[in-house]
Amino acid sequence: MVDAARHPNITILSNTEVEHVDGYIGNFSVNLVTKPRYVIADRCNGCGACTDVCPIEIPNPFELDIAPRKAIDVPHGQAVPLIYAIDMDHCIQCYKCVTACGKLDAIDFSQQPEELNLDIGTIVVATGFASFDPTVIPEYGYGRYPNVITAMEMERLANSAGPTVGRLVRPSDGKRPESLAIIQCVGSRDKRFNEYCSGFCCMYAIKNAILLKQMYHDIDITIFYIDIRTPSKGYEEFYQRARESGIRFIQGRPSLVSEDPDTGNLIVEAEDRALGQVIEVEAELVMLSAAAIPQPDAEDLANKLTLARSPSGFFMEYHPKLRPVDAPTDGVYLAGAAQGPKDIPASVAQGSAAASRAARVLSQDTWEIEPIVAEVDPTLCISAHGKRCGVCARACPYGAIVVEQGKPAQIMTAKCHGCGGCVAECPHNAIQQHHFTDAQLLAQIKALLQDRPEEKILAFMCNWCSYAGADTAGTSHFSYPASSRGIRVMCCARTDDKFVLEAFRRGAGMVLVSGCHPQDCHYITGQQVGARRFERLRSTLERMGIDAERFRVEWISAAEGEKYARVITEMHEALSSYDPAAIRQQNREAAPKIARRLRKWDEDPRLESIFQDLPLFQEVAE
Amino acid sequence: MAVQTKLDAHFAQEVMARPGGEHLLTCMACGTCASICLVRRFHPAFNPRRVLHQAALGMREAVLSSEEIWLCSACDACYPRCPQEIHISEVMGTLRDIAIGKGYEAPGPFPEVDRDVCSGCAACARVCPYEAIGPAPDEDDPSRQTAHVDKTRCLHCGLCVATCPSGAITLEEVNEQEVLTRVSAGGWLDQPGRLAGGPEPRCLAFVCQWSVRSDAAWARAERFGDQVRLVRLPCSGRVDPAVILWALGKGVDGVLVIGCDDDECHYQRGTFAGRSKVYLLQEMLATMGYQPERVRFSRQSIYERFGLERSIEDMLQTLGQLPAPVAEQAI
Amino acid sequence: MQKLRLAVHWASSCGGCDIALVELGEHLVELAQVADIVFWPCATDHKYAEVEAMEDDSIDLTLFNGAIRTDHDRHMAHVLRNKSKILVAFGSCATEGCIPSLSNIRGAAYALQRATADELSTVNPKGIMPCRDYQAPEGSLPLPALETQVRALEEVVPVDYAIPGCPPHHDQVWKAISQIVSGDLPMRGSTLGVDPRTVCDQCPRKRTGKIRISRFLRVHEGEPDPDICLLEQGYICAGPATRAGCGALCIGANMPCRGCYGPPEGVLDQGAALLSAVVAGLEGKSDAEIRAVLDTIADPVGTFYRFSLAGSILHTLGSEDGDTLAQSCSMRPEEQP
Repeated sequence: MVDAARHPNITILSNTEVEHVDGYIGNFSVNLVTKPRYVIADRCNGCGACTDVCPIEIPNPFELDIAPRKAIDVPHGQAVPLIYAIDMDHCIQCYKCVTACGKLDAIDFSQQPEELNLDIGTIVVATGFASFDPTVIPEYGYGRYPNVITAMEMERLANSAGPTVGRLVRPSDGKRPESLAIIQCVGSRDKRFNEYCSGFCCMYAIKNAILLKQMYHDIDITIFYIDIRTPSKGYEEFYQRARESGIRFIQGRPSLVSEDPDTGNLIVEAEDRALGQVIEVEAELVMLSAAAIPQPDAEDLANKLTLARSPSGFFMEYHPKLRPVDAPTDGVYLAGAAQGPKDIPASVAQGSAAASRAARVLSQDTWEIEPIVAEVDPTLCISAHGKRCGVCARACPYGAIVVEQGKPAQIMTAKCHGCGGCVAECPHNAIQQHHFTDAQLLAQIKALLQDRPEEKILAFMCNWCSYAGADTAGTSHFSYPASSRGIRVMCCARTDDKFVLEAFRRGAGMVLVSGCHPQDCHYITGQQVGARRFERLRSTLERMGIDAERFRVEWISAAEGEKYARVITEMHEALSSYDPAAIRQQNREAAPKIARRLRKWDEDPRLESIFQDLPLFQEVAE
Repeated sequence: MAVQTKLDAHFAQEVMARPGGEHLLTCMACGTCASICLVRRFHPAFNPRRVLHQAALGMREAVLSSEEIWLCSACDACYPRCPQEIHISEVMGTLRDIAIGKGYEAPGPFPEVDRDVCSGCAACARVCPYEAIGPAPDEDDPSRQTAHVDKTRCLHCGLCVATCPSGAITLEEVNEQEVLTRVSAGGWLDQPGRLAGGPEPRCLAFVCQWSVRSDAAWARAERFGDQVRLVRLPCSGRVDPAVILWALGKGVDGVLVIGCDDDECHYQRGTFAGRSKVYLLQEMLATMGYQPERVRFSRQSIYERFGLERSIEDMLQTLGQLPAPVAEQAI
Repeated sequence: MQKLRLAVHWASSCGGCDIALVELGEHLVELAQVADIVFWPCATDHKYAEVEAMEDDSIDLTLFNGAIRTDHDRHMAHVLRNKSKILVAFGSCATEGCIPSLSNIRGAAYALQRATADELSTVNPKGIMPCRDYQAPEGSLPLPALETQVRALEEVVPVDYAIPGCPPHHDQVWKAISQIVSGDLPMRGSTLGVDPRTVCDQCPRKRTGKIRISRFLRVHEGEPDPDICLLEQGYICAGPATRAGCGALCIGANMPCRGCYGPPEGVLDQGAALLSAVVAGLEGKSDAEIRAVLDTIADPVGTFYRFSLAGSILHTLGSEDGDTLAQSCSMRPEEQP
C-alpha cells in the first residue's frame, strides 16, 4: 500500500466517494466528492499527538466495535495515507488536539466537502464484501450471549496488532477460553439468507484453529460443518494438518447454541452425522463463520456505473467463463470479492487480470466496437419536433441515449452494445440497428413464410441464449420436427411485436419468441424490456382472434438444447391438431387489424419492396 | 454383506409433488433437524434427517413401512432452521398419506372415546391442533353425535383428554388416574407444606416434557428434593384445572405449570390451552380470596437452558414468602 | 294400601322448586291418590312443631329444596333427616348450593351489610342490622342467624337421592317421583330425574369444532344464530359440562345454558370442567393475545360456578368453617327506625 502511495503515477483519493459517472470507454468523466477530514493532509505527519489528548472515545469499526478509537484518529497504524481524521458526529470541539498539534497546525474545523471532476479512461471496481450479521439467526445466540463472536471479531482478537495484542480473551469475563467451538455456514448455503457458499470460510476457520492451537497448545477446538471445502492448491493438505493437530471436526450443522448463565459457557447442540447421534459440546467461546455478503451500497454503485448484479447481489461479470473480470459496460472491470466471495489468491489474480484488461484500453488510441449499433433518424424522431418522448432512453440498459426535448435523441455510439431494444421500442420507427434493420428482418420473415406458412413455426431467438440453445440442440443430436424456422436477433428486446404480427399476417402457423432467462441477459435488462412487450402482445393477439397457444414465449439458455427441442416438439404437436384451413381463417380475419397496427410501415419507403407482394392495405375489389 | 437397495426415483418425485416437499432433493443432510428434534429424546430411533434422505433416495418400502414417519408431531421446530427451507413436518405428513394409501396403518396410541359418555359437544375438536378428532353421527344411534378420532391425523398429544368436560376420552399413559397417581405417589401429599405448618413450602410442578431439552436440565431440578413433585405431561395443555384445585385443597402450597414459550409448543397450541386454564384459575382463586400467586404458569424458552431450575426456584421463593390465605370473613 | 307420607321443605330458596312441584299439573291428582302431604310450609298450613313431634322415619319421602343458609335451615335439615325414610335433595340449591352459594365469594358479613345497609335501593340511614332477638311488645321474635357459609344439603346431613335443576323440569320430577313411589329405586346416593350425558347431547345445534374464538360475548352483546352452537359463536354456554335432563330448554330459547343441572356424572368440579371446554378454541398466538381474549370473560367464578359453587373443589379453598354469624343486638322498641 505504501508503494502505491509513493508511486508517481498513482494518486490515492481517500475519504472520497464517486457521485456520478458519465461518458463511455476511454472517455469517462467522473464526479467525486472528498469528505472533510478536518485535518490538512499536507501538514499532518501522522505523529498521533492529537489522539493521545482527545477525550472522546467511540467504538472503532475497524476493530468491529470491540475496541474504542478517539474522535480524532486513523483506522489503524498501517493506514495509507497516514493522515488523521475527525469524526465530527462525536467531536466536541474542545480544541485539545489543536493544542497538541502545535506548530504543525494541521487541524482545520472549517474544512468543507470538495468536489472533483476527473477525465477517466477505464474504471476498476474492487469494492470488496461485507459480513453477514448473525443476529438474525436467533438459535446461534449472537448478540444475546456475549461469548458468541463472528470470525471477523476473532481475527481482531487473535491479531497481535488488535485490541488485546493477540491474546485471545472471551468477552464476558476476559478470561482465556480453554475451549472453542466454530460453526460453519452461518448465513451461507442457507435459502433463508444467502443460498451461495461463501467459499473462503472453511479455510479461514481452519487457519484460525491452527493458529490458536499453535498459540495455546491445550485449547480444545471443535469445528461443526456441513462440508469442508478446501479445493485449491495446498488447501486439502492444510485441512489434513488441522485434523492431525487434534482439532476436532464434527459433520453436523448445529441447531442450537444456549448459555449456562452461571459460567457464560455455551452449549452447542448438533447431530454428529457420522455417529447418527445428537451431541452437546460445551465451549467457553463460540465463533460463527458468517457469510460474505455484498456491500450495503452495491445497488447504489451499480446504478452509478451501470453495472448488473447477479442474483446473490454481487456485481455481474460479462461472461462467467470467458470474460470474468469485465463488467457488461465497456471500460469497467471488476476485481475481487465485489464480483463474488473469494479468497486472497483469487482476489489477487483477479486484480491483476482486471488491471491488464484496463491497461489494454489505456494503451490504445482507438477502440473497436461492434458495428451492430443503433442510429437515430433525426427526421423521424418526434423529440426533434418538440414533442416529449424518451422511450428509447428508458429501454437502454447502458444509459447510452440522451433525449432532450427539441432535439433528436442522441445515442453515444461507444456506449451502444447493440441490443436493439430502443429500435423496437421507438413508436415512430425512428431508430434502426445496423445489420438488424427492420427491412432486413422483415425480408427474412417474408422469405421463411413463402411456402405453406401455416405449417411452420417461426422462432425469434436471441443470439446469446436461445439461438445458442437451438444450436446446442442440433450439436447434441436432440431430435425435433422440421417445422421451425429461426430468425436471429442480438437480444429479444429487438424482437418487435410488429414482427410477430407480420408473421401472422403472412400466414405463420405458430410463432415462438425466445430469449435469455431473466438473470442471464447479456444486455443486463434487455430481457425485461422484451418480456414486458410480449405480455402486452399476448393480449393484443387474443383480441385479434389468434388462439393463445399459437404464440409462445420461452426463456431458453444456451445450455438448454433439450428445452428448445422439447418446446418445438410441443408446438408442432399443437399445430398438427389444427386444421390448416382454420389457421388460414384466423390469420385472414386478423389481417386487417394487423395491417392497421403496421400502418407506419406502409409509409416507410425503405420497406416498399417488402410489401410489394402482399400490400398492407388491399384495395377493395368492386 | 451389502444388500442391494431398490432406489425408486418416482417415489422422490411423488413426495416432491406435494406441498412442503419441493426442495427435498436439495437436502444436504446437514442434521440440523435431527439435532433440534425433541421427539428423538423419547424415541431415539426417530431421525428426520434419515427419513428425508431415504425419501430422497427413493427407498419407498423402507420409508413407508417404518415407524418413524408416525412419530413426528409437526411442532415445526426444525422447519424455521432448515437451510434448504424444506417443510419437514409436511413431508412427514405426505409420507403418512402415501403410506395410508398403500394400506399401512398408524400405530397409535389413539384416544378412546367412551361413546356412552360423549355428548358430541365438540370441545375436543376445537382444541385439537391437527383436526384429528371431531363430532360425527354415532354408529349406534345416528341421531346423536359423538367424537370420532381420525387416526391418520392424530399425534396423541392428549389435549382432547384434558379438554373433555365429561371425561369421556382416555389415552394410554396420559390418563387422569395416571396423573393423580404420580402426584400422590410415595405419600407426597401427606407431608406438610408451609401452609400446613411444615418448615418449607412444597410445590407441585406439572412440566411439559418437551420444554426441557436435556437430561442436564432435569438433573438440575433434582436438588429441590421432596419440596417439589415433578409430574411430566406430554403438554402443558394437558393440565387439568380440577387436579390443580384438588392438589391445593390437599394442602400443597402451590402449583407450577411449566410449558413452552409462544412459538415453541410441540403441539402448536397446547401451551395456549395450558396458559388459559392457569390464568383463569388465578382469577378465580383471587375472587375467592385465595392467593392467585399460588398457581403459576412459567414459560420455558428453548433458549434458556436451565429455565426449569430457575422457574422452580422462583416459585419456591414466592411460596416461602406468602402468608396463609385469609378468607374475607371479617365482620 | 297405606298412603305414602310426603313432606316438602324449603330452606334458603326462591320458591321455584315448589312451583316445579305444582307444575306437575294433572300428575298431582295421581300423586294425591298414593300420597298424603304431611308438611309443606309453602303450600300447606303444617307447623314446625308438628313435624318436630313426629316419630323418626315416619315420613316416607321428603323433598328438601333450598340451600342451608341459616341455623334454622340446618336445624330443619337435621329434623327432616331424622323423620324421613328417604330424604331427597330437590333442586340445585339443595344439591349443589346454586345461586345462594355465590354469596360465599364475599362471605356472610358482606352479604348482610350489603343487603341491609349498602344497597342502592335500601333506605337505612342509621345502618341498623337485623338481630337475633327482636323484642316486640307481644314478645320476642327470634330471627335465624346466618351461617358463615352457604352449604348444600349433603354437607349437613346424609342425603339419599338428588334431583338437580333450577328448578328441576316437571317431567323429570314426575319420572323421579314415580320411580320412588314405585319402589324401583336405584342405588342410594344416585341422582334422579336426569338423562345420560350432557346438555349437548340434547341440543340440536350444529357443532363442527373447526372454529377459533377471539372474544367471548355476553348474551346482550350480540344476536346468536339459532342454528349454530352457542359456544362456537363465542357465548359461554355451560352445556358441555352440565348434566342433561332439561331437554336443552334455554338453548331452545336462543339463550346459552347456564349449568343449573350441575356437573355430568363422575365430574366433581363443574367449573373446572367447563373452563377446559370453553378455552378449547381460543385464538391467540402470544401471551398478550391469550390474555386479551380471556379478559372478555366477565366474572369467571360467577360464569363457571354459577350453580355449583358450594359443591365444587374451588370452594374448599380458603373457606372457613364456622357456624353462625353472631348478630349482636336485642333490639328494643325505642331503637326501631
